[in-house]
Amino acid sequence: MSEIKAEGLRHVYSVGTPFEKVAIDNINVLIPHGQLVGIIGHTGSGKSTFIQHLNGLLKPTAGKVCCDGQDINASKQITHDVRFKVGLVFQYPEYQLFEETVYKDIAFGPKNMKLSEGEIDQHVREAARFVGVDEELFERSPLELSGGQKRRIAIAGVIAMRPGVLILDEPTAGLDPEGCAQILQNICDYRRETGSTVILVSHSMDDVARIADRLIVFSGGGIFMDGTPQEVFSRPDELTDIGLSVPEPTAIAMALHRRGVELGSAVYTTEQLVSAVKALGKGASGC
Amino acid sequence: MSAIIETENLHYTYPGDESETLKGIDLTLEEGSFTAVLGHNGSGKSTLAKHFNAILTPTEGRVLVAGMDTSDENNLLDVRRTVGMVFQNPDNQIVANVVEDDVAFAPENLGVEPAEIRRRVDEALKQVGMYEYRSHAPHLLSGGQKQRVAIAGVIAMEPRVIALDEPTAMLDPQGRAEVISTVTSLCREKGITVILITHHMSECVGADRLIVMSNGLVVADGSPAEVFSDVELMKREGLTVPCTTQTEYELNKCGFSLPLSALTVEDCAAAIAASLGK
Repeated sequence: MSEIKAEGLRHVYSVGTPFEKVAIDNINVLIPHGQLVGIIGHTGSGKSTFIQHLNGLLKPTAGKVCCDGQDINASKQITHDVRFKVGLVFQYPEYQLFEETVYKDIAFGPKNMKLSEGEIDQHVREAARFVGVDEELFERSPLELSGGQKRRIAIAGVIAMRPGVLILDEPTAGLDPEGCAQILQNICDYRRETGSTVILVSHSMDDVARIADRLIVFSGGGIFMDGTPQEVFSRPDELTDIGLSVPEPTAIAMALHRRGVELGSAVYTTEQLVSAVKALGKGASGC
Repeated sequence: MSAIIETENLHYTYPGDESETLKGIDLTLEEGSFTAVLGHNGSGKSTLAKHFNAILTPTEGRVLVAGMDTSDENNLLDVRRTVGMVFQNPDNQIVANVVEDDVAFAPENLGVEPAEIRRRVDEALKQVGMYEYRSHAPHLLSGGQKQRVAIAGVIAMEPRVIALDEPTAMLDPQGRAEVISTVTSLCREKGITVILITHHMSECVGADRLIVMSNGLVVADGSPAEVFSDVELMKREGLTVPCTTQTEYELNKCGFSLPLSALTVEDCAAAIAASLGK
């Protein structure tokens, strides 16, 4: 469990060249222990730049990032240690698998933490269990497995460091619906069992609506909205203005509203939509 | 309409594999139609697409493209001119340093006259809405823009068919919408036959025909409204149905009688409102 805090965070790429670009500016945010935060935003809105600051991959041009109260860029040693505390799973992480066997690939992180053989083994098995990778696959080459399996192994490689903060950049991109649902379930289970803070970057409004406690919306390098899914998705016009959409159930609820059907509560999942309509249909349908 | 692609008892086994990836596919695709193909990972849908322009040829059965047998090597060039392919990762498909050079690559290789190349490149870039970017560097474009340049490169060959294998998988929602609206207009306005392989149910809604593949076989084939209405089948295949159909399906279990064929948000809302007496 760890807490992340960004204060006055600003990052400028290619300073002093004709390509100089302010990627993020004046970001102030506190992500408390154990929260599951969804980060959404149009391509180029600054969300990837932001998350790369959280484990010291990028250094702020101005402002600072603190993990559990400590500035993560205060010294080289602290930045080094924070890499184990804040685990970052990149987009298409399966391209980064490189070891001869699945086991060795998952063990790479814990090994770098200089753990004992016994601890490494424990970490690897636990991580594999979280993502649903069968131990029978341990001696196989990760490169010969299916896309969905590779993705899970890559995620296990980060989880194996038992990070207090787990950050995933588009973990479901390119997977089929069943693969997406499994990965989201794995993430929820990991968070529930370990109490870790989880930050999920996603283009899928439906995914974040389903699992996040809180949504942070990026636009033009700044934070545009910050609230519960219910609060954020109750402002559909503003989301559309910055190139985002609302979850499809919310869009249906809005279309119903235009037709004079008022659902009693905010709707952003199919389950909520179905039960809200059922509640209205009571008596008529007898259900 | 006439058939542009026919597969007859198409079987395919990858070299070194013991089991078949395609286990007997019989399909006839009409010229000018828009067909979407769904299926979970490993269902054989990409393998099928690769047969349409002879990247793969059947181990049993045959594939005819505009009447030409793809297994006959003498037909190879004509088959590839007839069917253009667009793949998932735009970065792997762009070869030149300038957008218009990239689009000109295929017609140059086909030996088209320079003046004609100029005309085709301009027209192709206009069709995908990337004409203003013709002298830009492709690597500085967004994913959706790059993918539209890749599509322009295919259109410049003037193919009769475009097969797209998960062209939106790596794009954000806006890039995805750009690509889908581009291919839809190519089909509707230019009469180009479109075959779209995808994981996104919402991208299938506008197709004429939806084919669902599972374990190397076609398990459903019909209009999107017909196919999505079989909610149990879609779930069995590890697929989902659009949120609209799912909502109608769940409500129908509780005494509503909504048409499962109301696929768009507006149609779904209209059906629900009507059933509530609004």
